[in-house]
Amino acid sequence: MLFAIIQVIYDKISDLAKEYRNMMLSLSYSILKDYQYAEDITQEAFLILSQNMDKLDNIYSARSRNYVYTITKNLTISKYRSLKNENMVQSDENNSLNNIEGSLDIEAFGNEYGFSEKIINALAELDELDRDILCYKYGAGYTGKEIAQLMNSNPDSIYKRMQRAISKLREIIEEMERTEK
Amino acid sequence: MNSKREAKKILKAYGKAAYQERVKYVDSFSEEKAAFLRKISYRRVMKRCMLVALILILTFSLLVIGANALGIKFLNLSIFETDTHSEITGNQGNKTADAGEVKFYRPDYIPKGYSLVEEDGIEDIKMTYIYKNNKDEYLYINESVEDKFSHQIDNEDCEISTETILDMEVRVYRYKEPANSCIYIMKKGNLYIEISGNLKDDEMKKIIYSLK
Repeated sequence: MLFAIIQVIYDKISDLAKEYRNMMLSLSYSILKDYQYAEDITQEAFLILSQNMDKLDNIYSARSRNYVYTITKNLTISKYRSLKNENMVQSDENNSLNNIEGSLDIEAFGNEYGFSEKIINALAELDELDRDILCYKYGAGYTGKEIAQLMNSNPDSIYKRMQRAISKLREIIEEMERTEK
Repeated sequence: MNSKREAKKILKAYGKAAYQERVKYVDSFSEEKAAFLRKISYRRVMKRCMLVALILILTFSLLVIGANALGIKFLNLSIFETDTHSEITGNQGNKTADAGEVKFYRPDYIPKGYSLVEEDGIEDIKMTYIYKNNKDEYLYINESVEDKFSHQIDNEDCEISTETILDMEVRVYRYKEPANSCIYIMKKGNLYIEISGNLKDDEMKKIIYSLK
């Protein structure tokens, strides 16, 4: 019975590797610009995924895709910042992290929806965790509790982050309305 | 309250768009999907290529056939020329002469060594004169009214040209083998005349000049 479970897990991880390895390598390399580091991040990401297999219902679903992407991206950004602190990366953080492959172009998005420059700037100022929460909540349709589990956090923290983002945007909208009057 | 709703709306739109972007990015790496898409696009490309190839082949074939089977209008005769032969026919509906009006021509000049061996014809329709020399070389003069004029001429290894001889347009077929082998086709009066033999151009011209 145990062997069967292990076999199932092993098969799932193999399928995961087959499906996502290239994407994970490419994503981490796009930020770190080093293949060795990219390999390390990919392995670390697989370790985390193997510990959270229960969160991947169907490894080919859009939700799983987003989850794998998010894990890889966050590990890479952490690695990037630690290397930056050790002066082992030379590029500017803003430049490197503003153009992460797979990220939404905020300016294009804002222009498409007709948002003002202030709104676009506010969205650009959202940090990566806020963006992950928005993707999980409004993109994948997870509840606050599920998001907390995915992010190894607690539902309160998730709720507070969301409220903070809403408040910030709300302030900008109200200011715009005052200016128009 | 409105501003809160507005802010939530913006974040919702952003969240959805960002999610889609991420999924799209991951999808671009999916081997299965990429292979499937490659298969589809390969199939589509192959279909398109085959269609284009078919159209090109058809067009080319038509061009070749058309080029080879050149339809030429010459002296109201229809001449269809291919690489191997020419079919020359008069307009079957065109009667160039009425009964009693047809006067066949006879050459005054016959090349040295040739003599008339046969004369055969149908009144008011056609006449053939056959000359032969001591080398068993023949000279044929065929004359016919338009609607009865019909010949198939071998034009392999042949030079085809149009000349003007005595104000007459003459279509000339000159062969490489046997030496000096040629056919001259022209219209004189209301008759179409075909002269064929193993003679040089100047000899053929003398015959044509002497037709009376």
